[in-house]
Amino acid sequence: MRHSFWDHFSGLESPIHKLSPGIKILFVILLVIILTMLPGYYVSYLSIPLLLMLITILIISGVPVKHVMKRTLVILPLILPVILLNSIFMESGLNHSLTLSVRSFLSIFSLVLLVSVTKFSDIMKTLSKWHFPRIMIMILTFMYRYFFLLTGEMEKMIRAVKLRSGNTRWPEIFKIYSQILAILFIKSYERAERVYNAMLMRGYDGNGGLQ
Amino acid sequence: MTIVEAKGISYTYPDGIEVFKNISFKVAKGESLGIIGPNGAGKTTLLLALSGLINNSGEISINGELKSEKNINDIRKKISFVFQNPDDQLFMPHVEEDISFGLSKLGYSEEEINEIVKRSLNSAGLDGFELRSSHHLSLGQKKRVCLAAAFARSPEILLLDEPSNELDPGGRKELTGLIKNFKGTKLIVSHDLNMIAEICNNVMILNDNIIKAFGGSKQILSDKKLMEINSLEVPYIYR
Repeated sequence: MRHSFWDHFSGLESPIHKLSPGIKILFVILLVIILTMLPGYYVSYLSIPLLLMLITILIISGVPVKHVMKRTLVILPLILPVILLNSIFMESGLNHSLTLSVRSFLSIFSLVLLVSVTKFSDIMKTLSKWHFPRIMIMILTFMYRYFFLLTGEMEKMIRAVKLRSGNTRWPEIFKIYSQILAILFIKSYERAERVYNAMLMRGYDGNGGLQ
Repeated sequence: MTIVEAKGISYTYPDGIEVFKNISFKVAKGESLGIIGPNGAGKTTLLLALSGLINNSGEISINGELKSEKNINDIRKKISFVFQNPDDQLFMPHVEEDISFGLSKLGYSEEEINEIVKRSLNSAGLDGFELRSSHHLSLGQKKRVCLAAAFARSPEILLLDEPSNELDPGGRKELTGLIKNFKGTKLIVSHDLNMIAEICNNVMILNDNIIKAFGGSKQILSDKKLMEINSLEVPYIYR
């Protein structure tokens, strides 16, 4: 998985891409707030018009619908346990879970749309202009910079394991994969130390600022 | 004039392994010193100690100033460190942001910073790379961006850890030229002895916790016996 998985189309020249990043960020924040705050009854009525509006924006931007849909579906399973727990433990669980799924889907869809039509650095610059906490911006920047590097390292380790593990069965594979995760954690920790050293050498004060 | 002076410095890893013990040396202003030795000899650790990234015992003076916790930030302003893995060093998503990181605290205005970024990229042969994503660059380009970021701080001392590691011959040649063009003091840790022979006027061999040899580059690098007992080999130009 590479950076282009998310922002492959963020450099296009459509009218949506040319819009100020601030307007796009505000639009998405507003949409997510509306989707979160609205009673379930309204959400079920608004979901189709909202989806149509997002798809229209997508078509104008020239970003393939498939691209955004695929990325939305990658994230969606992460909230599946919450939806399932809701349907089991809450009164009117099924209705509640359906609304929650719609809210989640549309929120994630709009966020993926945002990163598909806005360069990551523009989003960060805008947040910085809005006096978003510097430490948060640094965390987001580092996540963007290093997430794919780490997944790349993990892919290499998995490939190495596959080449040497032959017909290993499930319980053992599970054990191997947990060890891979542990090694990845150690590697990330060591990398973090080295990155921190590089930052110190260029004036970082260790508290989100410079000295 | 001495710009780097180490007096009786020692360092032991937290797990008890001693890297170097009671070593002393001096580096003159404008000198290019190659630090060589087998794997695990403590070459990189020595660079970390000189830049105050680890706490060693003994005394280190940079430009006549004794390194301490109080003045370490001022000392670091005189030093640029190019780390072995460029992905550890290029921590910002775009080249421009990476090179300009920290420059505002060196007293430069925004216009000056833009000018420095352009000039540094030009000196690293990377004109027009300002908006390129760090992660989309080739290894050779990443290494050159690291150098550009180091040049941007106008350091008096440049510390380089395995700069030519994993580069193809073309990339290595370009990088060697760029390092050679830097007029300040250079301390280069490398296994690339041909590059060391090309750039450095002095060489230090670090092995078995001590400095095994220190002197003129040609004199040391062409000494077959000395090189072999330290798990090294004479570079091509001296064979």
